[in-house]
Amino acid sequence: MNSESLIVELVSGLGPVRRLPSPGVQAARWLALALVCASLAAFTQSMVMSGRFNFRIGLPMNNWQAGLSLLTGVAAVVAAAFLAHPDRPRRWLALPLVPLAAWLGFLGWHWAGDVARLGSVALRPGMDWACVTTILSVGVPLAAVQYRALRHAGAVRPTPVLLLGALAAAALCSTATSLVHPVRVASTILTWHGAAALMLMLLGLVLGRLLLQPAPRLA
Amino acid sequence: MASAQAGDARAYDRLLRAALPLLRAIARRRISDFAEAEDAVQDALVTIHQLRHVYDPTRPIRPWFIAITERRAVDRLRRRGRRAGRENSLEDYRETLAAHETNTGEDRVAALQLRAAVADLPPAQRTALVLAKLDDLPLAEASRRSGMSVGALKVATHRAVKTLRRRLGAEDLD
Repeated sequence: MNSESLIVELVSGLGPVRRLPSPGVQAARWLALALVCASLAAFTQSMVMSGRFNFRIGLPMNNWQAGLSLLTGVAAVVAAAFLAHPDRPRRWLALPLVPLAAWLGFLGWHWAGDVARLGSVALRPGMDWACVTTILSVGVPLAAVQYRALRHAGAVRPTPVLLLGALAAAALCSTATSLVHPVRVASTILTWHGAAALMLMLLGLVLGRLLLQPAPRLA
Repeated sequence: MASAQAGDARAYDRLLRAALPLLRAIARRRISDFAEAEDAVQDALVTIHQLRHVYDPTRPIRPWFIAITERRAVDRLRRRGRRAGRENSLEDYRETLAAHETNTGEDRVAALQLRAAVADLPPAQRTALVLAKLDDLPLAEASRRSGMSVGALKVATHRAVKTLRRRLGAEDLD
């Protein structure tokens, strides 16, 4: 079949389509959903752990950790929504890198401070299963919802959208869990929140493609 | 494209036909093979069709077409690269398997044909060939063993070689 015949085939039976909302609106919708889900998960985690809702914003390290992870999550979802459109420039990819670097840099700097203050104790990351469980159990469905909304990215830029979508979900869940379960040792956050985020990104990269629209292959 | 999103088939047809030269130029800049480039153009047309609901009519259409066609052309090149890495041309290699033992079939057939041709030679020619060429004896010794004169031995050997050449088709190659 030549290209002109293909055009005839594509045009025949053409119907109206519902236009997708702009990337900004898509990102805002997902953020609203993610904040509600992450808050509910944090509330549940707090109730399970202490029997009451503890909203702790007293620790400066916790506030910074929560603020920077929130910023990373927002930047990642905005970047993913824009990158899912073929004509948007690839430099959107850089948007979440700045808050991500600041987030990791802050934790690293705090970790170095812990080592100087506490010695080798600060090198041993404590267990933080509650946060890891929350990040994964809420992050996976949130990432799946985002992949479904941005499924058109499958035909153009699947990999960055999959990675950024998972990063956004993990970062927002990390924010919520930090507000109800403050951790005083940076190595614990670095290790367990980082491991959960990496696991979520890996899962997104491997399984997320199933939710995206595949690129067409004629022959 | 806004009209196409509303279901206007004519406008869509005009748009895609008008875009075709641009899509072809982009694909051929990336892919030297004409047929492969045309396949990339068709992939791009299908992608444009699949994503027509994603396009924002307030933005220019040209970068949209360019980005999609570039992507499909790169996909084609990658797929061709992967295919080329997996395939080997059969014409270049007559061996069936990599192990040496499995590729001696032709040599064995040639050896059998040669033995059969030597066995079919007249007795005098066969004796002269075996003694003078295969056993590589000096002419005097070969003459003594065969009871033929040295001259007769030379002539018989020469005729035996000529008969074998004719029988095995070697003369056709000269």
